Amino acid sequence: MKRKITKKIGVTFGSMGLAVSMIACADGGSNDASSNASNGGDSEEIELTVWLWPGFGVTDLLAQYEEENPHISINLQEAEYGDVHQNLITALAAGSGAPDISGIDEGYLDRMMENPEHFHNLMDYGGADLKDTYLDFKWEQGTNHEEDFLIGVPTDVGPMVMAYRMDLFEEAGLPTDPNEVAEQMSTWEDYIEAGKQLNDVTDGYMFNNLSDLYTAILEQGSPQHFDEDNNFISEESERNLYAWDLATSAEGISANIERHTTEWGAGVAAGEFATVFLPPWMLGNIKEDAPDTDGLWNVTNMPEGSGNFGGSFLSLPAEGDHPEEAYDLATWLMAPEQQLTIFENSGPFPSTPELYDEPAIQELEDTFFTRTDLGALYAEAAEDIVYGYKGPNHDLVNELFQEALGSVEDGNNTPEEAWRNAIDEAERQIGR
Amino acid sequence: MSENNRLLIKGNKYNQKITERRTGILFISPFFILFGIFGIWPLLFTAYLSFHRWDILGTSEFVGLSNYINLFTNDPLFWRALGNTFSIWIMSTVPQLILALLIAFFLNQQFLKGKTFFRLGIFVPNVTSVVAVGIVFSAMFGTQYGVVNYLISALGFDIINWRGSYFGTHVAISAMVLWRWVGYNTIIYLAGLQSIGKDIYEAATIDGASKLQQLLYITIPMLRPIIIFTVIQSTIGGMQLFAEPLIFGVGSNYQGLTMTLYLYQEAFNRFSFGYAAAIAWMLFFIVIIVSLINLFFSQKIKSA
Repeated sequence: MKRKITKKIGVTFGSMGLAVSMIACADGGSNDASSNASNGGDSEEIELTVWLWPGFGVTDLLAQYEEENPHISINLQEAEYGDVHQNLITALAAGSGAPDISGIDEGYLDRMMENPEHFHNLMDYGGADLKDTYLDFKWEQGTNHEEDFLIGVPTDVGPMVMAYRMDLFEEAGLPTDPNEVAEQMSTWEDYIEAGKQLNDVTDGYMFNNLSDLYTAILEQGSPQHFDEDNNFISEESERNLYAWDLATSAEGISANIERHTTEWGAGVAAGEFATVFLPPWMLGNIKEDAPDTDGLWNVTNMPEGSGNFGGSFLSLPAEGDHPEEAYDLATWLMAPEQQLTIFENSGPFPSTPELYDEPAIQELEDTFFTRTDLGALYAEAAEDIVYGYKGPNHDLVNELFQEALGSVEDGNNTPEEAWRNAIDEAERQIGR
Repeated sequence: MSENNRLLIKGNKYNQKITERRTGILFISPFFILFGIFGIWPLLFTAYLSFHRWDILGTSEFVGLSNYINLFTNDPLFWRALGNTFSIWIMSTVPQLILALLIAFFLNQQFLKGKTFFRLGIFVPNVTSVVAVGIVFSAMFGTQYGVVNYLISALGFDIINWRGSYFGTHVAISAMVLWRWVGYNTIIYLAGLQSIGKDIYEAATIDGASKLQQLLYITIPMLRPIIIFTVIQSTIGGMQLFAEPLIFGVGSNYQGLTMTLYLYQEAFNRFSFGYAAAIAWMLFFIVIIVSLINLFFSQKIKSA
């Protein structure tokens, strides 16, 4: 779950409100802690504070948990995506004010993993039992090298598939049947080739911009920008070189429109570009931005496998005084049964593969995208996700490469200049 | 009166003085306590931080002057941000103040009907949320589907890549600032205009001065202190430009990156709090220098 535009705006307001909310939270947190610490004992009332951003879809489940466990009361505090993380970081640094349970998105995960002392190690509470319940890549994301530290209980995943406009493909003389599309575009080179054909025939574009194509390809492999010892390897990383070369070779078929902008919405509605790579939580964006394209879409596998975009963990900050109760709540909340409930209430996609055969998922259909088996497609994509090690500086470096591709697309730099700039700037920012 | 009593009275007097002093201190203390917590302490802590390398969650490491050395010798982005800030500041302030002056002059004319309506109307943009302004203007300055490019192409010119070029991004951000602040300056100028006596204009009219001559030789010279005030206000605002470029996007060549935005990104996106603290102190010095230059010119203008 990652909403960039709300993140941007949220950050603006958030930074203004940060001071206020910090004071408010710090106050509430410390009071609860002191009053509860003196009590102890099972029968006593325990309050668990939970920080999440909108979209987890757990509100009803939390109420159910309270009902089934009378001695637990849950205080759910929702804030915008960016605010939750910044408030959490501030609270951890300040040493007070952190909740018992906090959501952490994968984008912030490695930074938190670098500082394990700020979190309860779930391995101490039986976390090892969770391994087989969740997708392997989620487990690898949430654990350290030695697999003796687990930062949180995995929540959702964002398996990537490719949506395409059947009408535009047909006009360009490309196949429209999902199986044929997947077959013809089984590699990225074929995909770009098809894009050029589309561009020649219809003058339209294949995708929105180079940096999204780059990220989609990068996410399919490992290592990306850092090796597991956090050495900066973008310059020689095969995955990165592969993604960069493919992206720069596709300049002519890119519409140069950034995702999460009003331009993107208008572009989708106008059929400016024929394909979109998207995780399940982004399906709604297309429906909202381009309601008139109902039925013109179809969905198939991405070239060369899947990829992941978004997904979180429920962590237990070390400041929390009730790790056992918090662990019980977090594991219950993200157990397969509950994840299925969340999914059925149109929440995010589950991270527990045993659910993927459930009818609720297998039979998830979506007429907007002309699929009666959309859930099965996503389930298949979820199991194809490979774990790509990121490291705490991944986002910083990846953003530089994305900006570099933007500058190529805007005509401000040649690919060689842009590459050099990205590498130099990355080395400079990491090195200081 | 016995010796004892006298001493007692003396002692009381002494006590009362102390009590009064204490009460006085107590009364003014809220300001100093708050100022200490939210003013002095962050300032000192920022100075302390600027000599460290700190990602907020981990431990901080003393690095001496290295943050400052990096800033001067090895940070193209900082200087680019500095250049952008000044460029956007000039592009938004100069037309903004000229426009505000003209509108104020117009609104102050005798023949104009419905003055209150226009005055209110010109000020409305200023009370609009900056985020809303940013989002709407971002949509208007869209490259493919923006209304500005639509008009440009309707007039037969080439469309401009607003997000992709220096010129485009600076114009778009300046336009947001301009739109929001013209009304504010207009109202201030209007207040200044109304303090200029009507008799001067009447005399000028009798002497045969045109409206333009009245503007150039009466209005502007008499508004001088107010113009200085608005220039200083716009300078402070321009140096702190943040929300507009944040929402519009800095662009792939960082052409929309302003100093405060760079500071913010270092601290909250890249978690280099020590480096961000060093930037903050550099900003502090730059603002001091700009203020001194401002002061110098306004003294000159005042005495001219």
